[in-house]
Amino acid sequence: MESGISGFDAWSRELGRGGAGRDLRAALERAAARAARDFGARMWFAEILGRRWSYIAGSMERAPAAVALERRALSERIGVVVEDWGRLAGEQRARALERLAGLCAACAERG
Amino acid sequence: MNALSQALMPSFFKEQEARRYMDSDRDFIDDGWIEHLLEQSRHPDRSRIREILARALSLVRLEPAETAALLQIDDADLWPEVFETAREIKNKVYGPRIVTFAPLYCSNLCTNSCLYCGFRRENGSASRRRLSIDEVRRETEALVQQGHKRLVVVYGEHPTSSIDYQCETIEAIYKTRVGHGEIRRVNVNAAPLSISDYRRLKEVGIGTFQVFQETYHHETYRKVHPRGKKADYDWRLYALHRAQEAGIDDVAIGALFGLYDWRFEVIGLLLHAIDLERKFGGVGPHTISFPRLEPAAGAPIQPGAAHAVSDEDFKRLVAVLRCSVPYTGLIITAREPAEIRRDVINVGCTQTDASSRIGIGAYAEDYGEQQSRRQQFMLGDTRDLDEVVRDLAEMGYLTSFCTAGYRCGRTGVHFMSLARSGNVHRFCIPNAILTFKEYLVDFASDETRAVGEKLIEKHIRETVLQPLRPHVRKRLAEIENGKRDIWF
Repeated sequence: MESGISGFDAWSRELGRGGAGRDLRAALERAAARAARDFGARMWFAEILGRRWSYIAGSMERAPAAVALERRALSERIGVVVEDWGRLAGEQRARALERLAGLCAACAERG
Repeated sequence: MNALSQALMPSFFKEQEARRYMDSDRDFIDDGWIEHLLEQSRHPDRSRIREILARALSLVRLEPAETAALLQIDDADLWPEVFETAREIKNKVYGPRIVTFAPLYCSNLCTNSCLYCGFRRENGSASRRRLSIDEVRRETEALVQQGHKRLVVVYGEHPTSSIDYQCETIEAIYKTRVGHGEIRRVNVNAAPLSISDYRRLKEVGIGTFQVFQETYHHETYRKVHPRGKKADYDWRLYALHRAQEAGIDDVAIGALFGLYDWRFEVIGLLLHAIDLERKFGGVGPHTISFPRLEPAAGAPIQPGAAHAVSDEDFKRLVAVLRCSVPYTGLIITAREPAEIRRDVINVGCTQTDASSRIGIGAYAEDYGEQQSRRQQFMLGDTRDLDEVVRDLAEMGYLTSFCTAGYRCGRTGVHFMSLARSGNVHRFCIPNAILTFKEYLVDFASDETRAVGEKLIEKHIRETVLQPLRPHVRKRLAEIENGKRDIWF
């Protein structure tokens, strides 16, 4: 298991590359899986449709903690719901959100 | 696609959209097979029934042969065991909460000829109207002022209820606010759409899209839907497959009980759920409705016809559905009188409507008596929301106005995954408590508030998981201090 700043940098670089292809769902699935595996973070992604946030990809296998959900729009169409940041702290969280937004933008550009 | 282009949609493409989900060019309802299954299942023995009930209690979806056996129980002593099993399943999966909504009829113009419906085009005595967007806003304001947070909007099948009109009305509803109040989730009951039109509805952020097949029995379907678009059985049967393909992952099915044998219809509903699960990654219907035929002005078929469902059988069918599809919500509506609603809520219902008025424009006008020429059918329960909330609270149920799930991505496969792992308790009960509290503070009578506050305290102590209790209490205090729309 990777942990600490070096693990985060690797994940961050991977997000920065915007995933391997055009498939945003697969890229988000990988991002959530890695965040869970390496940092114990629990997050899922949703398509934003007016008030509706419709599930796309991400963590759903573990019993939810259900105390404080953080809901952030990553683009006009895609949002992330973070239930547990795990070992990711302050600055790392902000950078992760930034990278995830970049990943959404890159996939959107690739069509 | 607008109403005109929908109407002009070449029949080839329409047929393609209806047939693309069929296996070997046949739909999933084989009437002969269902009749045979039910016949084979007659006089089930007690040990077989107890095995099936034990399997149901393990929260698996039953197979048609198991459901058929439950439907054919003729040993009166066994039915209380089925009711108890259904009650336990409901408590395990959903807990002591009832999600509550109101219907909003936007139009009663209809091109269909359904023999049981007051909106049928041949009914010349019906007062026909489509609400303007301003009128939709006024209806919404009236509902918000009662305390509602969830609506199901209903449209007749008519060119004037086009996809453009549907989207405009839903957007108008979402934008309407009165003080602290607002509608947070709009579900839709409308005619089957093409995939492109479903995509447009998805864009405006609907909750659930519901289409009821009315009857799954092909011959009966043909007889009771003699003309109009609704005469096309397969276009309707696969309506929710198209919705799923368009990305609407909360869909709802239903049957109108009283048109054909109730046991056949229950198997039809189960097969519909199974087909959706098979074709869309395990995601079955979000809810099932089971309205019974009610009197309707100008309708040739009235209750009391050959397949009328007795109160006793009605309770049985609800309990069997609860045992068969543990993760699907069950909706009991105000068609039924209060005493029936109380009875069947205990054997598995998870949602109900309250303060319903189904005449076009009825909420803003606040008319007291039901008016048959303005309504699709006559309601059995016209109590106001406060009375229904108090009644449910006295039965031990929290009225939930929660809409959190669909606003944070707990939809479709995600919701099913949480439900199947027994985890909806963790957030649905706290969220039910928070929305119930909002209602008590903003809208309830003193009497209802007194009953409700005691119930909240009871469920915090007995039902909410211990680690979450302080978080729930903190949020309840925030609501007392004026904060709204907070959830887990």
